[in-house]
Amino acid sequence: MPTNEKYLGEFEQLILLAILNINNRAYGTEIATTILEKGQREVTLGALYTSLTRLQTKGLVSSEMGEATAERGGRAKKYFTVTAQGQSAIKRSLSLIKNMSKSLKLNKTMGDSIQDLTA
Amino acid sequence: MKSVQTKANSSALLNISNHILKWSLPQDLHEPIYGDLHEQFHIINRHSALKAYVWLILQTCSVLWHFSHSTQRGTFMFLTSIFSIIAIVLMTFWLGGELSMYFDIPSILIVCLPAILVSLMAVGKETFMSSFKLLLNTHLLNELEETNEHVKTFEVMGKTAMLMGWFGIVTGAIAIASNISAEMFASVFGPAFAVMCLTLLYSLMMKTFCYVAILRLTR
Repeated sequence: MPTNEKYLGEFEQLILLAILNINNRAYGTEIATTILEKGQREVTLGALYTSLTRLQTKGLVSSEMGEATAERGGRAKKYFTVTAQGQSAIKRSLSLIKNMSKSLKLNKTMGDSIQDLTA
Repeated sequence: MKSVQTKANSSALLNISNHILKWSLPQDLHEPIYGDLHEQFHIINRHSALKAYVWLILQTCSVLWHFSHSTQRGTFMFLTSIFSIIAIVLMTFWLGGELSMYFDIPSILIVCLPAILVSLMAVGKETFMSSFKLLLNTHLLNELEETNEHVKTFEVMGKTAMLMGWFGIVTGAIAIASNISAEMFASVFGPAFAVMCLTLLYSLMMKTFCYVAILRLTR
């Protein structure tokens, strides 16, 4: 049955997953580093914060100001947390990919189905 | 010695980046983003200064690209209108003949110098300078409750420019009328009249700029 709820874009999924990977409380640098290390994708702070602002407007993440440190030039961190709504959105997005890729073969030479990869 | 130089370069670059971020970011995002930039810059800088500089420039450009069109929309609209007017005026110059016939340094000085000086006298140096800064920074404009003094800068400048334009016309006409003879009329009157009209042209250009600036400040 079709649902009215919007699905997340790929970059939004990556951001939400990165925050969840860091105990669901992370600031910009941590999120960018996690996406680089686990997602092999270099992220600019401009793109990251634009998406974070959009996710916050949608109510999928919340934020709070943290402590200021010397290595940050005395500037405070802004910690982001994935809300319950955000967690159900990422769950929905991942299950959509899983359903769509059921029994699909990548190609004959690779053998594995996409479902194996997302399992 | 080299490390002192690198440190100075780093802090200068960070300072420039900070100014760009302050201009382009919403106020609540400036602190966390600059903090992130500062933190990661120093980590990269430990391995390679050049890599850190390139990284910082790219990140600053990225922030500028992603945020400035929404935070500085008014500034972009102002600059677009000014550049459009300049482009149209230049096009009409070009269509009218040689571009060089539209440029006359004494006429520019007759219009611009008094307009700037009278405006400076009317509002003071500080307000005069900040009026121009306000045109290019929406954050500063939003912080101000009243812009009357700044509007006055451009009102006075525009009116004085127009007055000086008419003065140029009248003094030019008197000079032509006093010096021309019947035999030389055909060859001298045309070019002299053209130069005389340039003061009015420059004053109209300045008045147009002031009009757009006032619209920007009183939006």
